[in-house]
Amino acid sequence: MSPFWKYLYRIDYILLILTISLMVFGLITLYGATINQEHSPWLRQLVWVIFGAFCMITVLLVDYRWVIRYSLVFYLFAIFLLCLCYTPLGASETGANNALRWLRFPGVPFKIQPAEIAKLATILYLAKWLSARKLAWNSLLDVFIPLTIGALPALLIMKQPDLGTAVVFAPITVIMMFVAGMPFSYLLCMFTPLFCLLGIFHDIFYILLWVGLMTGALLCITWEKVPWHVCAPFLAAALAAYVGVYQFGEKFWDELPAYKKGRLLTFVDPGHDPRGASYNFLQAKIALGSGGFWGKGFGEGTQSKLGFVPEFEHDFVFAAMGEQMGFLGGATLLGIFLLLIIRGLDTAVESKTTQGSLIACGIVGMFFTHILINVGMVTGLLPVTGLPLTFISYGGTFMITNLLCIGLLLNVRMRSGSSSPTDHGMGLRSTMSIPTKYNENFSEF
Amino acid sequence: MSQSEHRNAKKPSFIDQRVQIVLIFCMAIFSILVFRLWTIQIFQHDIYAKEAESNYNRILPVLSERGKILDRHGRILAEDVNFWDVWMAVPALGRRVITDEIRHTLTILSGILETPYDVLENRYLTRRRDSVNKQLRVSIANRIRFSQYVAIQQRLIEFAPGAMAYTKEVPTRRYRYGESAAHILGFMGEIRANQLNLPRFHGYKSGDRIGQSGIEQQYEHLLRGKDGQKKVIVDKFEIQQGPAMQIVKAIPGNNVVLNLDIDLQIAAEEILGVSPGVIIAQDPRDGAILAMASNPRYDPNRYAEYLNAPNDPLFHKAIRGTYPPGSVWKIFEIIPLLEELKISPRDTVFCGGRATVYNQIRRCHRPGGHGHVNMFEAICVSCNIYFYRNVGERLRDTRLFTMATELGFTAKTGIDLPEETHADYPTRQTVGNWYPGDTVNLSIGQGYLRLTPIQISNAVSAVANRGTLYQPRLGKMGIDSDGNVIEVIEPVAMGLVQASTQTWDVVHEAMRQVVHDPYRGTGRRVAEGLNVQAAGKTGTAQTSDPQGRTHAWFVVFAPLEEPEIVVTVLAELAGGAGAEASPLARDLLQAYFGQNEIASHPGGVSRSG
Repeated sequence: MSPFWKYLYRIDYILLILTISLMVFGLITLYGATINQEHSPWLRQLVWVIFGAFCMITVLLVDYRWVIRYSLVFYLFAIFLLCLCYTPLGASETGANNALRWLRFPGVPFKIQPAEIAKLATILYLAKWLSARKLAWNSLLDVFIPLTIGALPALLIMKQPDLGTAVVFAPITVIMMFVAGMPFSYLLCMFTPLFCLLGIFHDIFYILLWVGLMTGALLCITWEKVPWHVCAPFLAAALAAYVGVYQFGEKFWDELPAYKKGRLLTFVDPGHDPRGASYNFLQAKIALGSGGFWGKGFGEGTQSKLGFVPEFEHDFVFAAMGEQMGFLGGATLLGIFLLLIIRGLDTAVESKTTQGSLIACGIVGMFFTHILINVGMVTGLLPVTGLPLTFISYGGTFMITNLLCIGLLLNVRMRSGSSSPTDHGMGLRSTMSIPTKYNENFSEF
Repeated sequence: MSQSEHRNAKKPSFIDQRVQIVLIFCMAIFSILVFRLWTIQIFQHDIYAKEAESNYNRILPVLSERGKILDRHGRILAEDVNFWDVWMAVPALGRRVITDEIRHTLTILSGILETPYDVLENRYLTRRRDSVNKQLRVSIANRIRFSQYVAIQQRLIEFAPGAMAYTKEVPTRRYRYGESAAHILGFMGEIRANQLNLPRFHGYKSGDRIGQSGIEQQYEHLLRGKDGQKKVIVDKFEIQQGPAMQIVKAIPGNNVVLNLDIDLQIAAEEILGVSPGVIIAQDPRDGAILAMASNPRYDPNRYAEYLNAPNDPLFHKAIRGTYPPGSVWKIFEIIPLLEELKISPRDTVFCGGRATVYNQIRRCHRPGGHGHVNMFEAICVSCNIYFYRNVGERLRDTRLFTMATELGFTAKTGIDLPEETHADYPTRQTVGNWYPGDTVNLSIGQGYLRLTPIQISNAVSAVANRGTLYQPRLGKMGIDSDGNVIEVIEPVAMGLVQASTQTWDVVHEAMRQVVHDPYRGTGRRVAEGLNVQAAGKTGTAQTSDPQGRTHAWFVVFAPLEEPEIVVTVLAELAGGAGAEASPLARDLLQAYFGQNEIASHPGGVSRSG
């Protein structure tokens, strides 16, 4: 292992600049939306940013491969912290359905959110597991073990309950498995149980649609020549789920808690209850839409300033931003996010090791999921699930985790070897070519 | 290098391709997000901008102050005062659960309002919710005082936004003198649905307060102010942010000055006491009403409590009640006797206590009769036989009708009060089967004849001023809030009774004797203790009362030479006029001319003019 300073000149300035600009964006939005509040959270956020920067630099000091080596310890520690949430140390926030999302240690002035730490730990351990052996992807365990690694913290978080954060683990796990070489057919198989939602509609058209989709999946499996015994549990689960939903869907719906029902209904029909369940969503959309192209101006967001947009510093921060800075600001922010993702994926390509690539992809997958769910929720593309926006939303643990992730990306790139300090190209190294037969690739192991 | 590092240094090439697929996927999703953003922020911007504005912009009415009602000396009779209603926000999810925030607010309110906490909580839970702007609220307390309002305003900051308390200004009409002049001033009420459709209520909206009776209704167009508008920025909890912007200025209503003298009015009401009846004081020179007391009375501040009272205190007897005038009628009859029949006042008629008129035996009120009575004596002692003979047999009802028309008995007087009733003057056409006996009854103010006290007062005024019939007037002028006169309510002369000076002299002299003949005058009690010359007439009207009680009338004007006040007294079912009604008239005249203790009110009792 080379000394730290030998790598320092290779630090990825582009990623650094993107990160800093995002944080500035976030601080400005927070400041503008809370300009008339007595206790504006933006100063506290600044403290977290500075603290997070120190954490990021600390991560740079150690080789990421060393971090990977002890990732099981981190993973188990994160699981332990998640379990602690159910002890008296767990803290809830009033109004958030009494979810035990935080840990408050005696004598410590702030709360920490173990779910955020768990995300990072899961990425690291998945990277270790997926790269530690040659994966032939022909055994059931090859699929189920990484899925279990991802699902374990997700289940603990879902129990809190914090559905939004739990959902994030799914795309992270799937993206990492996909990058690690999982065949397309398995990906498709994993999605087949989702088709069961069609079972809600007792209509011949939807039944045929389901049959069609399943047939497509079967055809794909046949074509890719993947082992059937791996696909079979997924397909069986898909069939069982479909029949179950077809049979008991309505009963299950009746027993769903009212707020979840409301959120789902809001997704289907955004205006169904403007005073109740869809109020938040509707007000966020009004905030975004009233911003227009140029925005209302810094600190002029009436929707957020006058309290119509709820939780605008957390989940609806994008609405507050879009109101103040308009489409110009929103598109710019999304652009910076996309550049961040491209740079992160480029790091994956640049990395000389599978571990590095998997870490980078896992982190990018996490960022991407947060952005997609948050922006998709505000713009009405996805159901309302509370999930913060990377680098923009207020939250200490979240900001530190994000900066740790950036630190890891920088770490991977610094130690990838070939990247010279003058190489600031954004493009991916290799040309785009999608292999038609994955079995060829498997032979490389 | 460790073994694992060595192994991991090799990276399979498909990873880069997989990463590229992930990248394409991400870019596709991002383009969808940007497109969606474009749709919402550019295409649908107008819709959302409007909705955002309707979230925080409130155009609220600025209530204008209604004009005051003043008496002739500028004393305030009716004015607008503000009370406040207290409301509390109801969470959108309902009010089943009393949270700590709500309990906190209710506790503070119960301290300020001096109401037990349980009562307030019960109101919060049970009262009907109302949607104010975009928020659900429930009324917690009504009509709180200014000091309580200030106390709540000072503590607003302590309330949690979800359990915010709101105060709403409720302008309320206050009648300073309570029951005094209640019927004249009237009362306010919410505009009724059928009134909203009337053209004269154009521009009114549901829930507006309007005058529903009396002066309040009559001079609504003067009294009503014009509401303004203000623009307010509110937050989610409908709490005002920053100062309000005035869009339309509220214009206060104009004040109405009445001819009424509140001191005289109070004196009249005190004289009347609790017994049912009417006292009207009128200025014969222009028809101005100086006082108009009607018993039973009510308090317009609390008029709703009187709506179902058994003796119907809301009924304005002075202009709505119809009564047989009895012998008061006789003073009007001698005008056509002198003018049409050219009867000499010295001509006598023999009264033997009874007489046969149209084959019927008729009696005078004095069993022994009055002997030979001329016109002066007939009025002075109120002899019925004289009028049976001269009016019943000679003048007849048709020629009496001319007099009745000239003196305004056949129509409304046109007093500026909306409630006035039309008293039907009996004619052969309206009654149908008219017998000679009806004419005889009419000649002494009985039979079918029913008149309102204001008609009698107004006719006596015409007699007092020698022929000019004015419309009785309560309103004097309208002045704006700065004191500038904007409308003078001129006296209206409705007609002139064609009669010679000699006729008026005879009428005045006959009426003078009623008061100043110390032995025979039926109204001689008036002269006792009065230092001006007065002229009057009693009237004891028989009624259909099962106990045989009579209405006691007394009309009087003074001073004799230049009359400046006409007093009409009706004491309902009180008995003989001379004993029951004339002392009341005298007391009021004394009050007017400043001769007794009622006159020593602060502010003094005016001499009109």
